Amino acid sequence: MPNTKVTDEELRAIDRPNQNFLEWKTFLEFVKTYFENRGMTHPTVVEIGTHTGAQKGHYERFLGAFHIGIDVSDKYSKPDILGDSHGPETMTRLKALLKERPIDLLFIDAEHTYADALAEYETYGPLVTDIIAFHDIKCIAEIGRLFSDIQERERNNPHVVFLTIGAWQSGKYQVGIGMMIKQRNNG
Amino acid sequence: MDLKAFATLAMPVQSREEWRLTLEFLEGYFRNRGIEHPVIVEVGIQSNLQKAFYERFLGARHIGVDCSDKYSKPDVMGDALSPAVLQRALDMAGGDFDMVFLDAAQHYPEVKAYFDLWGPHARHVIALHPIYTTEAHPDGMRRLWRELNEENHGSEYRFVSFRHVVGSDDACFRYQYGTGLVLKG
Repeated sequence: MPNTKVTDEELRAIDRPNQNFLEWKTFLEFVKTYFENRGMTHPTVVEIGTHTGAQKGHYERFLGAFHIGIDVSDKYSKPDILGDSHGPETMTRLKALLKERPIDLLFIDAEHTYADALAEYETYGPLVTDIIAFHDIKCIAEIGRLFSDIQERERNNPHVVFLTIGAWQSGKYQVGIGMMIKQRNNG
Repeated sequence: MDLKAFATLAMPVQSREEWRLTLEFLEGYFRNRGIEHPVIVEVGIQSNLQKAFYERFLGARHIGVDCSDKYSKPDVMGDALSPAVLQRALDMAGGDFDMVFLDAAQHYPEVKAYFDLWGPHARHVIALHPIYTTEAHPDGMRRLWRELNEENHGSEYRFVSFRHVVGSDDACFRYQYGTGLVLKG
């Protein structure tokens, strides 16, 4: 795990992702500490919906992560896997890159519909050992509803904690990151 | 944070899973800001079991405030809605606090009054507990958390919440805790 602190200066030194700056900083601060405390020096991060691809640099710089980006388009950046997240060939390519490693952090930020995000959660979630994050849970009602439904669905799972991060910006409550934390390796 | 050591300490009236992650979050938050020994004031300590966690895992200086010494001995005893009690805590801290943890009354008027009195003296974090109680419980913290989230504070605040879903099919015994952190800066 790199010693690089998640500070404003360090964050601004590299490409800025399409995120609310304060929320993103808070998210990185937390996941960095979480992985450090569990001795996970090079966590595997899979991001579905990479857009400009700017998050990759942050995961690598602050977490020392092995990052795999999936996107249906290469219009704004070149994803590691170009393809439909719902297609079986995408999963096949992902498993080839993972080489039997689990996903430590899954970040779902592709098509922002209930059905699409649910399908991604159900398809990729079983590969995840620690954290599943959903982006836009505050500003997109369908994603917020899905995050609530997953909390209800997991109510009998005593190991899962749900974490939300939110901030106001430019007069709007945006964007909201929701995390489902499975908490393994708690000592 | 030493997760094995966490498991050895007596738990406060908290969800263990939620409390562990809350402390981990605070550890990273204070470390990134170069705060090695945060001053943390807890309003409503009951058995005062949080103190050991703050001291051990955050290197904190902890000041407990409570109106009663029935279950433990607070550092400052008195009505936390009294400005004199606040002043005694400020005197002990030598100024404002890095974090205020509010966990005393649960009815809205008191909860709001605590927030308005103590909140301005928190430089970094105001914690509210419990924010995800059920309909069967007083809604003070729940309501204040919702109001703070809904009101546009610009970039003054960020909001982080932890929710451990207590396993039960009976809605009255679900979501009994929930910790909300209001972050400044």
